[in-house]
This record gives sequence, structure tokens and C-alpha cells, in this order.
Amino acid sequence: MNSNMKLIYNPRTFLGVFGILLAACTSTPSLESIDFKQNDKVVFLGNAFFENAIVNGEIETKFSLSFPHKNITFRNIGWSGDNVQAHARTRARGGGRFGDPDKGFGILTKQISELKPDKIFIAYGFNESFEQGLAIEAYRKDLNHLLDELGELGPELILISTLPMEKGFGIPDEHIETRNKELKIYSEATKEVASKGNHRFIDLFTSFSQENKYTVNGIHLTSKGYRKAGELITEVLKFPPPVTPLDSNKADQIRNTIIKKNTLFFHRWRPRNDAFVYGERKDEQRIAQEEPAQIEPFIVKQEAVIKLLLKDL
Amino acid sequence: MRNIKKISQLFLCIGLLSQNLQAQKDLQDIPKPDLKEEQASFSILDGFEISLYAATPMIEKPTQINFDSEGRLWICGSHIYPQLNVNEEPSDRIVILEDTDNDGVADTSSIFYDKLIIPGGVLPDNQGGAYVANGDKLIHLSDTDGDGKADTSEVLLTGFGTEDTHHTLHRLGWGPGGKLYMLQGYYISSHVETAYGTRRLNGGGLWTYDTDTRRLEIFTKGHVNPWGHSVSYWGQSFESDGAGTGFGHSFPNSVFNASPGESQALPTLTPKRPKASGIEIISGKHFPPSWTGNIITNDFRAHITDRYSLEDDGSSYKATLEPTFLKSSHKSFRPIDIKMGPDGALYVADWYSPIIQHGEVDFRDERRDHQHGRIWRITAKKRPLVEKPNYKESSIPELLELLKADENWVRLLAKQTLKSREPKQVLPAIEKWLSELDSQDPDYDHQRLEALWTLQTLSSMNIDLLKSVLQSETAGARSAAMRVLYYWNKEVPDALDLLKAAVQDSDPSVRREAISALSQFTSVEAFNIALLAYNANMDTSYSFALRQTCRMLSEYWLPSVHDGTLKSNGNHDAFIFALKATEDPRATDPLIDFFRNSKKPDISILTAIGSGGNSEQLNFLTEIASTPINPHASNAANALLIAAKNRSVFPTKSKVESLQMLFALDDKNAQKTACALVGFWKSEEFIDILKQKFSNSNSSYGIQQNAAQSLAIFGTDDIRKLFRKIIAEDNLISTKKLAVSALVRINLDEGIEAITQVFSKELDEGAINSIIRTIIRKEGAFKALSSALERTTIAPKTATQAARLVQISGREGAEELIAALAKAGSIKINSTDSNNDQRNLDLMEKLKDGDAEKGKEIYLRPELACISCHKIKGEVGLTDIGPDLGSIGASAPADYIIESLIAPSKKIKEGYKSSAITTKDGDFYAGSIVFEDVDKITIKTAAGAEVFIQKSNIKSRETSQVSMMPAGLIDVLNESELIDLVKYLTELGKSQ
Repeated sequence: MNSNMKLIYNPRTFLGVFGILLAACTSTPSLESIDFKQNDKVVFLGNAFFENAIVNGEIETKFSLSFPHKNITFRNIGWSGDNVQAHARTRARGGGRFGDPDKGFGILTKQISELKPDKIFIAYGFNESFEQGLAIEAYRKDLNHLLDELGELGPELILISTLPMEKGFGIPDEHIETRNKELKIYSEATKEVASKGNHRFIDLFTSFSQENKYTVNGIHLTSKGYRKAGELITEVLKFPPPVTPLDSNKADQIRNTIIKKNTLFFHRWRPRNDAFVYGERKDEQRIAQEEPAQIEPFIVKQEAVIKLLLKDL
Repeated sequence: MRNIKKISQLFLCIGLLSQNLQAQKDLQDIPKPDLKEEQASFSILDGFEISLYAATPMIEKPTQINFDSEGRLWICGSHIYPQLNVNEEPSDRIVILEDTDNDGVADTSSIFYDKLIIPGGVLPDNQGGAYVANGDKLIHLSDTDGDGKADTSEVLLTGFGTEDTHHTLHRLGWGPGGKLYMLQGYYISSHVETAYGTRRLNGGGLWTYDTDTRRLEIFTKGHVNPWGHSVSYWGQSFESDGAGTGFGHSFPNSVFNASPGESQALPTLTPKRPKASGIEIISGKHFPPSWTGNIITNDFRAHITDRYSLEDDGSSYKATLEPTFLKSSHKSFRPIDIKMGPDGALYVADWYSPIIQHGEVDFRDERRDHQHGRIWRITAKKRPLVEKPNYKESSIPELLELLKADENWVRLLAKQTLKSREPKQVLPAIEKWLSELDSQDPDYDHQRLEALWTLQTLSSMNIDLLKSVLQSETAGARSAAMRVLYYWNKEVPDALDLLKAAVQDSDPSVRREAISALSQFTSVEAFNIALLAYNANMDTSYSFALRQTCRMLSEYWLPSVHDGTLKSNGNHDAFIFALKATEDPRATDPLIDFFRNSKKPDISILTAIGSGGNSEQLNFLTEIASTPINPHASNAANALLIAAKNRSVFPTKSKVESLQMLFALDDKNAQKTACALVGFWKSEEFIDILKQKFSNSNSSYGIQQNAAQSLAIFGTDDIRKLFRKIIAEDNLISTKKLAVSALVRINLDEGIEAITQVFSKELDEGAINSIIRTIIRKEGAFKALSSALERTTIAPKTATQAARLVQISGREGAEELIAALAKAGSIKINSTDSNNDQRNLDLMEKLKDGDAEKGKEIYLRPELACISCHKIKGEVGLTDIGPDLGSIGASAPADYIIESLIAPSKKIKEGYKSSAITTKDGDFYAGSIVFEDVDKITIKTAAGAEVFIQKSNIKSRETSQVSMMPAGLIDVLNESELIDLVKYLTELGKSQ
């Protein structure tokens, strides 16, 4: 009782609470449609959820068809096995044979600061959900840290939940049940962090059923799954409807160009022989180091093609 | 030197023009891809013959070959290797070959898929599709419309590392229980998301993937370029290493060389043998019976295919090299994979290229072959070929009968085919087949094992059969059944009872398998059972398996030791083994208790305390060291030094008493250690004793050295005065150099002055090395010495030797110091020649006149120092600081060898790149990293010393651009001597 009294009559706390309430009332980001400016840059960041999207281009196509004339550019830097500490991005740099796990985060923030995105879509939590013990607390803390660091670079951050596991694929049912309990906890934690930090949150967990066949292996989406994910994301963010149906020839043409552009970008930033291009053995190969940068004009060219195709719509 | 210099000057003016010429000239040395010529280059063991099965354009350059159940050969290959071009579309292919008329020559070839980038492995699924290792992904390709071309590609796993394209995911194969095995090499960091967890693997390793449950696990870790995996009759795994030493015997949790973060590794079975690519185990009726079970592997550098016989040796094997099986004099013959085919013959995949290095030769070097590949076929003369079963048309009982075949691949393909049949029919048929087996048949145990493996392949469990195979008379069957238990683990209700019996089996390999299986159980009970397998005479593999299980289970049992619920129950030695195996700080207190309570304590416990104990725990060591007439005092002191030196952890009690006691002992080692401890512990009370020990010419060098180092830590005026006095007076040079080093550390100016003083007289090599090493480690010393040398002259020999050491340090200011040394010593230093290309070209031309015999004599000259750092096939050399040159001639083109001699820093062999580390104490070390984990590093310096550094103490760290091999070593040779030396090196590994 006493403490309650204090709370109410402490003017500073009162103002603080009021402030939060006010903010929530006036600009809850999740309730408003998202705004894309001309020439906006979008980054997709996360684990294999985004990495696997590179080869089907579904989400990006959906985005592009909703805003065909905004000239939005997309960079997908999802990395299989990655977590909010960016451990999978760890690469041997500057003398080490293998990167120190903690170096991944620096590599990520450096890359983001170079890409200068206006919006970052972030999908983590799957890999973290296997950790034992107090891992959920660590996830909250590290996710907040990631958001703080990325937030300082200026872009709008949009968080995406974990996906539930699908049944089948030879995986024992009990295992799937346990996993889905864990994945739900991580989805909720992401939601909570998003809401506290005033970021938009997209809940895919509840919308993806655990029975339908939207995955290739129980955990990673098929093209059909990505199309559904794209629709859910744009629904939450209140995108205008696509200017042409996603299964039209025109959409196919755009999607194929997007895939080509994404593949080129993949070879640009994650080339084979990384050890010789950026890493420990880079002094051994001069040409190998020069080549990835030479991919850049081809990416630009594909983006021009995408722009042209969208222009006609 | 004079001759070479002149010649290079002569060509100086046309140096630039000759760039293109050089490539062309070298190309003359490249053999034409003529099949007949290559065929004629073979010499094969009597009784065998080799013929061409297929070649380009029927195939791509092969990276792996695998036969399917229809007898067709699937080949994945790459013309893109080593690197995709800018904006190039993926176009590497999977090709299927067929020999429809059974004449031993492939007559049809079809492209199954052609959108890959440097695929490392292909494994047919025997239903028209295949699994393919494609860089960062494992994919499955299917042909749904039956036109022989893949129309659907399913990504099964993503996240395999791609840092180095000859290390990426490769070599797919089925295990006897139906799991898919695949390899990755060093430099790869994989982060693979699976339904069961994220699998992360740094460095080399053997993966297993269950295609039914989609479970991915790490089977073994390590090997540098594990380029082959094969499974024996009894289900044991063998891996060949293309950058290490031959091949090794792998079992669950085993670790081989170069696995990051692992503190121990198993040796291979062929520790002195060269690199090996591809591995196959002979079986079947076509090869002579005496060859059954032999291992065939390729020394791709020397153009050789070798054979080894295997015999049981404790819980593992012993391998013996047999007479050379196949040898070629053709420079481009590169046997990289080897498989037994459906007719019982051996098939050799020939990558065909004069260049095999991945990084050392430029990715875009024109001499790399991107076009040609061959498959050769080896048959035994006058022995009938094997009939190829028609798996597709066979009934289930017929397929089960094939499990009795002598040919390993027939049994494997029979199981794979049974997997595609209706399980409701297969399972009862297995029961029936088992009941009808002849228990008197000598292969009875193996037949039942095959039935067990079939069930495993079908993802079906039969615990009764498992138990019954565990009772087999043949040890091989029992140990293979144990491996099945490793996989089924907790699903087997009374598994721990079975394991308890197995760890007491009469056969060590069964016990080793049981130990590994126990690692899959998450309980203290499993640990207790594993300890029953401990004995005093464990062999290497056995003890490694036990160590791994103790470590993997430590999170369950170690807390129970702490809370007192787990006791050793008289099994002290086993318990101590387990505690030490964990390398866990929580193991220290129990180890102290063991030592305290034992009448004949295990001395290695003291080392373990020193390596892991905290300050309080170190007090146990000072307690021993300070006790009069304690027989373990010296060992305790050593352990205290480990703690001080490697971890900067010091005891809190009885330091003075310990030092007093140690100095009083008539034991040189104890005194030497005490001298070092005084410095680390900063025990000022003992400064006078240190001075006395250092000045006394009767003290051993070790004592003097440690005393000098400790005195330098205190660095008082008195101490500096003492060092100056020693240097000025007529003392032994060994004492003087210690004083100089110490002075440098205390006060740079005084130290540098002392160096010039000492350098003005003749010095032996050891003294020069020691002094230069001191200044390399001291920041600012190069600059200070450079200016000090302006005012003095030194002996030419001193200048030469010192300059060489300075050069390999790669430190800033090295060039200036070298120049200053040269001036003060009136010598000429051969700076890196800008016209190397021209010199190389010239040498290449004259190489044909070289005399390898003379070259060998030159190689062995001590002053040339080749043997100081390089061994040849594990012998001749004094250390292995540099790569073994045993087959350098077979693997490297002559121009590479020449360039490496003249400008060692231009091409540094992978794994031999040096790192430069500056510590927070201002020490500098350059050398190769031999061990590294999260918090510590061991660096091997060019002088051969291994230095242990805490990562927390590192200020900066970079990869050195400078080879540890000094440039200019060959400057003492004249041109004809140099040509002879190169000739000798180019011959190494080419002939046996």
C-alpha cells in the first residue's frame, strides 16, 4: 500500500508513466500502416528464415509489388544459424584462424552502417530457443542490445516472430510439441521486447499452423510458405494491395530478376573462398580479393531491370 | 649469389615484357592432355592392369564418384574450381555414366544437373535422384518425370561454411546403418539449423545425417583436408587426410589434428605418410583374397595409389604400407577418389591437373586445368569379374540373401534397396531370414549384424536382435552392435545394463565402443559405468574415448563429486583420470583431496592443479613445497610456475617458506624453478640470493637464466649495476648475453649500449640469437639499436646472423635495422629482388641440367639451415617448424619452389603463416599458432620455442606478411648449386 502511494505521488514517476501512456496512444507503431519513402533501403536480417528467402524472392516481390514506384532497394543478409549476438557471422579476420564468436556482432554492425538502411526487418529466436536454462533472459537482453546498436544507426526496426515447427518429416511428435512450446516463448519474448522498445512486431507464430505443409523440413519455409509469410507481413503493416497478382507472368519476371540480384549480392558479401577474399589467407590471392567488388555493377544492373519492370505496372 | 645477381641484372630491362612470356614458357612444361600418353605413364603392380573407363568430354573434372544400384557411375565435378567468376552462372555438373555392354568402358554419359558451384560430393539415392554437397548447402535432386535429368531440387541443410572451396562440404557416402556421412575441412565454420538444434562446427569434421529423421550430428572432429571416408566390413570408419598424415581410424567423439579449441587429438594410423585423398577398403571376389580388408588411398601429390594392410591393435588398428600399387610419371595424373565398382574392379577418379594447390597458386593461374578429367579402371589379371545383382528386380528374400555377399557395396546397396520396399513386408521377411540362417556358417555373426544394420537403415528398432548380436562370438559384431546402441541409446530400455556388461568385455574394441555409447546418456550412472572400463594399460584410442565420455558427461557427475554424493569407491586411478580429463576448475579440489589422502600419490595431479587451480588451491602446492624433505617439492614448484607463467595466478600462503625450502634443496631443477618464482611472485627477500646465483659461475645455465629474468623484473639500481659489471668484465659469453637481455628489459638505453659493447667482439650464434630475440620482443628496440649502430663497427658474421633474424621478425623498423647492421658490419645484404620473375624464368630453363644428387648434399649443409626447420617424410630435419618437404616436388611446380626459396614470403603454405602478437607487457612474438581456444594461444616461434599466451594479455595480433623462413638463405649458393638444390627438391616425392 505504502509503495503504491509513493508511486502515485512521486511526480517524476507519474510523468514517466504518463509519458509512456501518451506515446502508446499517439503513435503505437504496430497499429499504423508503414510508410516507405522514395529510394528507401530495406535490410532483411536474421537467421535462415531470411537467408533461405534469398533463393525464392517471395517476400521481396510482395513488397515491391505493393510499392512499385518507390524504388525501394533490398539487401538480404540473413545467415543460417545466426543469433542476436551474430555469432554465425564470425569470420576469421585480422590474424585469427577462426573468428572469435564475439566478433560477429562487430562485423554485423559495420555492415549495417555501410548499407545505411532505412528499415531493418529482424527475425531471430530460432537458434536461441535451443539454449538451456536462463537463455530466454539472455535472449531478451541481447535482442535489446542489438536493437539499441542498430537503432543508433537510425533505421526503423521491425521485429518478426519465430515460426512454429510443422509436424511430419520423420521428426518425432513429442519433440515437435516440446519445440513449439519453446518457440512460442521466444515469439512472445520478441513481442514483449518490440513493444517495450516501441518497435513494430509481426506475429507469424500464431498465424502459421503446425499442420499445414508450409515448410521443407518442419522448420524452414517452402516458396509457398514464404508467399504466406510475405502476405502476413504486408497485412500487419497495412501495405497497399499488389499492383499485379503474385502468380502473374509479370510478377514471375520481377521475382526472377529479384532472385538473380539477390544471388549476385550473396556472392558479393559471402563469396566462396572467404578466407582468401576477406580472411586469414587474403594475402595469398590478389585477384580473388578484387573480384567480389566487380560484382557490384551487375547488381546495379539487375536493380535497374527491376525498376523498369515495376515502372510499367 | 654473384652469378645470379649478374643474370638478374642482365634481364632487368626486359623484366616487364617477360611477364607474359613466363606463363607461356611454363606452359611448355605442362603435359598435353593426351590419354594415350597418360595411359603409358602408369606402372602398376604385377597381376593388375589399368585401363580408361571414361574421360572428358563425357565427364567434368571429378570431385567425387559413387555407383548406384543399377551399376551407373555418378560423378560430380567442377570446371569452375577454384572460384566462380564475376557474374558467372553456376554450371558445374552431375554426370551419370553407364557401361551398358559390360566391356569395362563407359559408353553413355548424361548430364543429370548442371547448375552447381564446385560441388564436393554426390550420392545417388538409388531411386533416380541424388544427394549433392553444393557449397553452403546439402541438397537433394530428384527426377520426377523419369527423363534422367533432375527437375526438382530440395534444400535439406544450409549454413555450411564456404571459406575455402577445397574444404567445403564434400564426400557423401552411406554408412552401414543407412546414415549419410559427409566431410568438411579446415578453415570452415558451419552453422546449420536443424529441427534438433543448431549444429556448429569449426574446422574439419565428419558429419552424419539421418535422411529419415533429418537429424544432423558431428561424428568426429579434426583432420585438415579430410578427403575420404570409408567403412570396413565390421562397420569401423577410416578417414584420409589430404593435408595431414595419411589416414586414421575414427569412432564417435574422436578428434584429430587441427580441431580448433580441442586440447588433445588422436594420431593417424600412418603418422609419417604423406597426404591422402580418397579411401577405399578392398572387398569381394575379384581382387585376390589376401587383399580383402586392405586400404587403398591416393598420394595425389606423388601420382601414386598406395595399399596398406590393416591388423588389429588393441582397440584400434595398425597399418602397414605394402609395395606401391599404382604409379604414374604423368604430371597431371591426380588420383583424388577411389571406389570399388559393380564388377569388382577399382575405379580411380583423376582430377587431372598439373596444379593442385588451392591457395598457393593464383586462382586464375593459366596453368590450372579446367577441362579434363578421367576415370581409370583397375582389374586383377586372370581373375573373373563379379556378377552385378539386379537389385531392382530382386524380391525381398533375394535382397536379404545379398546381405551374405562378400562385396561390401553389394550388401550396402541391398540395404538401400530394402529401404525403398514396403516396411510391412520387409520387417517380417527379416525375421524369417534370421530364423533360417545357419548358425554353423562362419559368417553367421556378420549376417545377423547385417540384419541389425538393415533395421537401422529402415529406421526400425529391434531390441531383441540388438541384444542377441551383442552376444555374438565375434568381437567385430559385438563392437558394431555397440555402435548401434550408441545411436539408439535411451530408446533401449535396459541400455545401461547392456553397457555395464560391455565395458567389461574381453575385447578392447567392444569396450571402446561401449565407452563412446555411454557419452549419449545424461546421467551419473553412465559415468560410473564408463569408469569401469578404466585400466592402467589403455591404448591411445581407448583412453581417448574414455576421456571424451568423461568430459561429455561432466555436467552430470562433477557437481555430484562436489556435493559429496559421488565418491570414488576405491577406484582412485579411474577417478583421477576422469577429473583430469575434464580440464574443469571444479575438478581441482577433488584432485587435491586425492593427492592428500594417497600414500603413493599421482604426481600429474600437481600439474593439473597448476594448470587449473585458483589462488587458494595453489596454497596446497606451497604447502608441499615448504614441507621439509617432501619428495614432491620440486614437482609442486613446477606446478606453481605453470600457474604463474601461463595464468598469472599466485598462491596466497607460504610463499617465502616454499622458496627458502626450494633454495635449500640440493636439486638443480628446484633451484631453477625457485629463481623464476621469485620474479613472478615479486619476493624481494630473495633478490640477494638471485644475484648470487646469477654471478656464480658454477650455477647451471638454467639457474642463471631464470635468476637474470627475475632480477630484470625488480630492476633496481643495484641490479642494473650488477648486469653492467658482468658485461664489462671477463665473463662467459653465456652469462653476458643473459645480462644484456635483462638490461634491455629494464632500461632500453642501457641495454642497447650493452648490445653494441658485446657486438664489438666475436660472438657465437647462440648469443646473437638470444640477444636479437630479446630486442625483437621489446618495443622501440629496433629504432634504438639502429641509431646506436651508427657509432660502432661489428663483426660481419654477427651482422649477417643478426640481420637474418631481424628480417624474419617482420617488425616495424626491420629494414632500417638491417641496413644499420650491414653498415656496421661492412656487409652487403641482398634486399628482396624486384626482378624475381626473371630470375625464376632463367633458373627454370637451366633446371634440366641440375643434379639432384648434388642438390641433396647441398640441402643437408648445416649452414644452409634447410634441415633446421624442414623434415623429409618425417625424417632428416631437426624440427618441423616448416612444412615437410617429403613430396614437395610432386605437389608443387618448379617455379613455385624457386620462388619459395628466393622470396619465402610470397607464397606461404597454409597453416604456416605466422602471426605477430604483442602482449600487454610489451613482449612481441612472431610464429605459427599451434593451439588456440577461447582464452589461450600457443605460438611456435621461428626459433622453435613454444610460447603460451593468455588471450587476455594480448594487446594486438595480426597475421604476419612475412614467412618464418628467412629470405636470402640461398644467397650463399652459386647458380649451379642453386639449380642442383631446386632439382633435388623437384624430385622429392616423385619416386619412391
